[in-house]
Amino acid sequence: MVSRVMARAWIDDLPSIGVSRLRASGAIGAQAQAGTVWFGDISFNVAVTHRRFPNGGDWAFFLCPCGHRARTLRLYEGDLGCKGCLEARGLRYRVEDLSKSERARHVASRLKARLTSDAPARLHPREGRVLDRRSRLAAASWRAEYLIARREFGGLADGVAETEA
Amino acid sequence: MAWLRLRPEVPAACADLDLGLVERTLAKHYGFIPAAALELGVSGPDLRRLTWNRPELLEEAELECQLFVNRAMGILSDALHSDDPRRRMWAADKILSSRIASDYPLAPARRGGRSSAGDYSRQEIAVRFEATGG
Repeated sequence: MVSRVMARAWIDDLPSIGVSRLRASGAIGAQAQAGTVWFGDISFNVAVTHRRFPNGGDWAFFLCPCGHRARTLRLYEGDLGCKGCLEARGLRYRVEDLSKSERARHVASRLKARLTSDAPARLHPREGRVLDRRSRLAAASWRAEYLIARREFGGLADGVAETEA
Repeated sequence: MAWLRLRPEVPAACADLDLGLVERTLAKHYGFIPAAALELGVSGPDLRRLTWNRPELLEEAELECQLFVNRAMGILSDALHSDDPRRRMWAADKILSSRIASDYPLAPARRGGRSSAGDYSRQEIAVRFEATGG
């Protein structure tokens, strides 16, 4: 028997396409207004909008069929949707269904991979820098490790602290 | 230095805070910003921005967290090497049901049937994009 949890689809697991990498790689130019997204054999025509800045730069966004701007579009049951569309159809992000300690475990594993990776997080990394905001990510990582330990070895370390005090 | 300009400014609400007190409060709450902010009488976002401006404020909290984990591991290690078989069994049970043994065959299954938090079945479909008109 397949459990309800196993059968459920999460937003994170759906096939997706992000606009930021496409803009950084040049696949979406500064003047691009539309494009075609291919998910396997299925294709969609998608509009692209830009948020222009005084320095000449811009952020690109997909225009979701619902009318909202979105950085990521996902395929669900043959339709294209942004976060809002998918949530309206009852889908949630995986972390929303996790307990506090499970979420910490999820965060810790993702952060550890990012913090220990030698590959730059950006497509065009800044000179001499592999990862931005490293100290913040490191702080989040050890906080998550603490929460995991607290959940799994709850009472152990506290007991020692009380004995020592 | 250029990188200093990237740091957010100290929020006005936190300008008069004693940094030593902030550091101790953060350590007391193991780096949990909302609880520390409540005790200091400032908002969580303000305190978070203060820590972004002065990351060293979190160093003591980091130490506290590491100490907590190390203390727990020390107790398990002692129990695992004790002469009492019941203590050894207790320690082995604790370790096997923890994340340390998440990929071990004898470890109990996690909620949702996955062995570790990073082990998810993402749907693999080739995705590509072709821009038109620009």
